[in-house]
Parts: sequence; C-alpha cells; structure tokens
Amino acid sequence: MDTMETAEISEISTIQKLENLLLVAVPRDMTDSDVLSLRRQVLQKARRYHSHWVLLDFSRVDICDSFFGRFIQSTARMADLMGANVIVSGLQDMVVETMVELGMTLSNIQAVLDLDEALALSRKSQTDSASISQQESDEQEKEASPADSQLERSTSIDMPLETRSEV
Amino acid sequence: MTEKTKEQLVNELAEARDRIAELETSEAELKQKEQELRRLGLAIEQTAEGVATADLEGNIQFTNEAWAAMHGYTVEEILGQHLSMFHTEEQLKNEVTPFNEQTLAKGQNKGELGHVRKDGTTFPTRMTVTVVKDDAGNPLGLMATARDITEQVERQAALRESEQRFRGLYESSPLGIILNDYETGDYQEANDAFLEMVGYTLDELNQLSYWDLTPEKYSDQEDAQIRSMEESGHYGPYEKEYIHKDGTVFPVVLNGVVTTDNKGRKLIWSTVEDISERKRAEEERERLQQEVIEAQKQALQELSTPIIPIMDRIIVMPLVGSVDTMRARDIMRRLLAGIREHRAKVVILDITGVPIVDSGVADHLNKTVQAARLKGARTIVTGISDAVAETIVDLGIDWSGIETLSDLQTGLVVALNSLNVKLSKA
Amino acid sequence: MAEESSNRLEFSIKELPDVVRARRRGMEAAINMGFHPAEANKVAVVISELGRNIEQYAGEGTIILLTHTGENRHIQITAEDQGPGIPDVDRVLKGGYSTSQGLGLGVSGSKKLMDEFEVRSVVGKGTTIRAVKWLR
Repeated sequence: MDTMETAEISEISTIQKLENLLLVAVPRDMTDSDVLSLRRQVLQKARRYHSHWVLLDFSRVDICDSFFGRFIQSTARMADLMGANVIVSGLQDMVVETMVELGMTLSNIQAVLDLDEALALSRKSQTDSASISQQESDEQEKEASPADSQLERSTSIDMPLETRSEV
Repeated sequence: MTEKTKEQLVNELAEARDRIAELETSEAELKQKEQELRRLGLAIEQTAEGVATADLEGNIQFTNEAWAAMHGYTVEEILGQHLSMFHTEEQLKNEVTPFNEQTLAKGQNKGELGHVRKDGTTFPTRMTVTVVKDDAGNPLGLMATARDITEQVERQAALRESEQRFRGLYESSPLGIILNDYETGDYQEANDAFLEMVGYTLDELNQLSYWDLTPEKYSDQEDAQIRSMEESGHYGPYEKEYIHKDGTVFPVVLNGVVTTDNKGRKLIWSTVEDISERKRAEEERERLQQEVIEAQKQALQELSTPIIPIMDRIIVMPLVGSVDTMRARDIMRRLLAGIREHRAKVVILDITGVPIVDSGVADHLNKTVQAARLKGARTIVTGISDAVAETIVDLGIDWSGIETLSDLQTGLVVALNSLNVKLSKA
Repeated sequence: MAEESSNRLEFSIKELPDVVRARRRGMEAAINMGFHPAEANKVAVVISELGRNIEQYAGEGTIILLTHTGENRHIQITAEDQGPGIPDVDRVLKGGYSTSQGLGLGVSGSKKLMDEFEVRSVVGKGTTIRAVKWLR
C-alpha cells in the first residue's frame, strides 16, 4: 500500500482513477513542495493503476504562471516516460489568453475542453486499438451511421465526477 | 405873567436836554430794533422753508415767497385769506382739524399734513405750527413753517414697495435664500425654502454657521469661494453638499453676493438650489447612456464577429473587416467563449472578409489558434486568397502550425471528416 | 467633477504564500478598478512571476500595487529587492519562452503582459521592476 499519503494537498479527491484515466484535479495556489508532492503521487498512482492516460484538470486554477507551465511540462515528460499520455483539460478562458500571450502554448501536450472529452478520447483510443483489425471490414457499417455512433458514445457516458469548464 | 426865573429856565432846559437824550437813545434803540426786524424779515422772506403767520382764527397775516410758491400762488393772492385755503375739504376734516387741536392744546405741533395747490393738486408737507405768545403768555397768533415732502414720500413709498416685493420673493421663492455673517459664517436669516431644505428651524439655524452644514471635504472649495468674494464681491455658481439635520447629505448649488448692513457689518446673501433631483436625473441619464453604449458595442461586436454553430461540435467564425489589436483580443475572447458554449471541437475561422493580413494580424490569428487548441478545439483557417498567401510567405510569417484551406466549403468537409461525419445526398 | 485617487497596497515577500496573497489581491484590485477579467488575470500573473523571482533569487523583497482611478486609470506593480541583481537585463527582456529559464522567463513574460515595463538592476545591490497596465 501507499505509505506516502497526501500531505500538503488536503483534498482527498485530488487524484482519482476513472476507467483507464487518472484524473488529477490540480489545486490552485500550490507551493513548490505541493508541486513535488503532487507530482510524486500522480506518478505513483499512474503506475499502480496502469493508467494509459493522465488528465491534468485545471478548472480550479485561475492564475497560471510560468511555474505552472513548468509543472505541466515536467509531469508530462515523467508520465510519458512511464508510458502514460498526459492530457490537460479545464483551462479557463482568461488563463488560456494569458498563456498564449506569454508564449506558453504547451504545443506538445494534448488539450481537451473537459472531463467528458477526456473520457471520450480515452475510450475512443481503446476502441480504436481493439478494432484495428476489424477496421477495413467494418468501414461500410461506419459510413452508414457515423453520426449515431458518435452521438451514442457521447451520451452514454455516465459520470460520477464531472468537471465543467468555467470562465 | 409870571416871569420864570433864570433857574427855572435852566432846569427846563436841562430837562428838555435829558428828554432829547432819552428820545435819541430810544430812537437809536428803535433803529437798532428796526434793523434787527428788517434782518429777520429778510431771513424769513428769503428762506426756502415756507413760513406763514395768521391770527388765532386762522386769517393769514403774512406768507413768505417760499410758502406762496409752494402752493402755486403769489403773495398778493394769499393776503387776507384764511389758512384753510391751503387744504381740501377732506384734508381739513381728516388731518388739519386734529392737528390744530393738538397745536392749541400743546402750544406747538409738528407733523405731516396734506396741502392743496392753486391748480388743485395735493401734496404732502412737513409742518411745524407754533402758537406765538406775548411775554405774559397770552396767545397772539399762529406761526407755521412748511416743507414740501413730495419727494421724500415718494421715495419712502418706493422703498416700501420694493421691500414688499423683495419680501414676497424671499418668502415665496422655491430657492433657498440665506444671509450669513461674512466673518463668522453664522446664519442671520433664512427663508422657508431653505429651512425646509436643511430640516432646521430658524432658531436652530441661528445657532449655527454654514460650517456646521458643510461636509469637511469642501474646506478647500469654501476657501476658494471666500477668495472669489474678496476679489469680486460675489461667488458662484458653486456646487457643494449640505448636511441635513437628519444627517443625510444632498447636493446643492450656491450663488452669493457680499453686502454691508447699515452698521458697516459685512454680510453674504446667497441663493441655494437643491440639485438632488437634477443630479439623480443626470446620473440616471449617464447610466442609461452607458448601457446603450455597452449594448451597442456588444451588438456591433456580435454583428461583426458572429459565431455560427454548424452541426454538433463545429462552429464557424467568419471575420469581416480589418483586425487591429483591440479587435483581435475581442475576437479571441468571443471565440473561446463560443468554443466553451457550443463545446466545439472544430473551429472554422474564415478570413475571406479581412482586407489586410499583415504580420500583426497573422500574429493575432496565430495566438487565437493556439488558444482554441488549449480549449480542445482544432482550428482551420479558410479564405486565404493568393495575395494573402503571398504576403504571409514574403513577410516570413510562421504559420506552419496553422491549418489552412482555401475556402469555407473545403474547411467544412475536413471538419466533418474529422468528427467522422459524412454527409450523403438525400 | 472627476475624482482622482490612488490606492496603495504593499506586500512584504518572504515566502510563496506571500506571493499567492499578493497576486490574489492584485487581481481583485484590478477587477474592482474595471479591468476585464482577462486583463486582471495578466496582472495577477505578473505579480506571481515577479514575486516568485524575489522569493527564489533574493530571499525577500516588496511588491507594491498602486491603483490610480480618475482620468488615466491604471495599475502599477513595483517589485523591489536587495538581491543579487540581474547581470544582463537586455538579454533577459528579449528572451522568449523557449529560450529562457526561471528568472528570465518570469521577467520577459511579464513584459509581454504589461503596457509599460522598466527594469533597474545593479549586480550585488538589488533589483526594482516597475510595470504599468492602462485601462483602455
């Protein structure tokens, strides 16, 4: 079992496993030690759960400076080394504006709007990898009702935890 | 015949001489008295005051030129007449008779009496009538002096009228009117309008000065008004605030002049207008104006930068018109909001309608595309003409990270493809 | 009658919680003045960058916020410290995100987010950075 539990970060639900995705609700106003602790826990849990995806959700963060940028980049690089894909989600409008102004575009990291999208992405990749062999033979089927299957995927998601992007 | 002795003759001579001396003295005295009388007569003749004498019954014995002229007569016309010729029936009844009663009772009387001239016009006089007595105290006759006070009476009437007019204005004015001591600022007078404005009674106000009713922050402005008064004798229009008796503060406009009372004390008359309503209306108008301007700005922005959702998760944003820094910022904000609202996964940013694409615009577009990506949306820029393509490359603008397509239709197809949506003919 | 007034907020910066407090208050002040939330956000980020630099390289310093209302509304951030100073200010200011590290990144980034930006630094003595954002 994990002996290093959350020390500085008080929220229990900061890191949660959701299907094959590890959801990290990044707290705002972290200190350097908070960052180190969080990063360590993320990597530990990603390993434990064999997560393919690590979702860093920034819905709670309204001030995103270069320090945050570095946190995102270093976490991404570390998770990548461990075989997990890092996605960011929930970046607020005004945060995004400031980031691009600074030139902090995180161009090497995939970004999605929110948790719904992240899950859609992670599920799609699962389905894709499973159906690669079937892809050619099923192409006609897909063409017939692509919209429906797309919609189906979106609406069948039943969320215990929802993160909605805020302004 | 008795012969007088020499002695008797000498005595008679001496007596005669004495008599002559006496007579000469008397004559001299008489002459002196005559001269005095003549001088007195001349004085009375020539004075501007009207002088008249009459017997106790009122029959005129003498009037001077001034008296005659005052009444429009010559002296000759007056002699032998009665004093009542100088009054109308009404005057005699209402004024003269009571006056005369007093005169006879007190021996002298002063007052204002109405007279009438030869031409029938009446005029007011100030008269002094004296009962002249001999040494024994027996009344000999009457002496009257009179002065035409038409001018004075008119002046007084005018003054009274103007005072009444002012009082009417003062009392009924909707503006507050106040009188303050220049040195201390104490309230001397205040009309009802002012009392109502500030909530004090006149008694209470008399215990206060305008400093008590003025918020402290106006102390510099108050000094400025005092300077104005020192320079020009007046101040205003001066906008400030007053503190009502109940503590509330309200805005007013003051205008004032410096004046002095008949004791030489400096005072300030001011008018006070309560402008709360006006201010409120102004603020309201400004607020509405601002609202209208904001609404117009919004509407304009929306018109010039609409977001058109197409199908699920695709939005089109056609840009029309020139793009400067401020507009670029707005475009980005609207786009990010649009991506959020429509949960768009693909944005088609059409720049067909943007006339000039220079490095500035290209830079803005670049940032917008990056920002959209961070919100999980892929951006396809469409509508790049040949000319624009040339400009971008020539200027060395790096758009390698941006997806571009020539037109909207192609962009749509690509977008739909990326969402695995294929359109088939019906 | 336009009323002009200045408000001054001073923050002593010794630890990161001080930076967090300063940037929060700064963002609030900017919003109260009428800045768009996105602009207020930039002010907060600049305070954060400069505050972190103070904490990390100088150990302690001060951040002063001046909000000026009236005719020319603007907010001014002044970050002062008696730290080691910045050796090559020009190079730091020119640097981009990808080329700079730490302190340089914070300073060059802050310059992009503000309208006026001034750095005065003497090696061994300290640094004063003054940045202004105008409300359009």
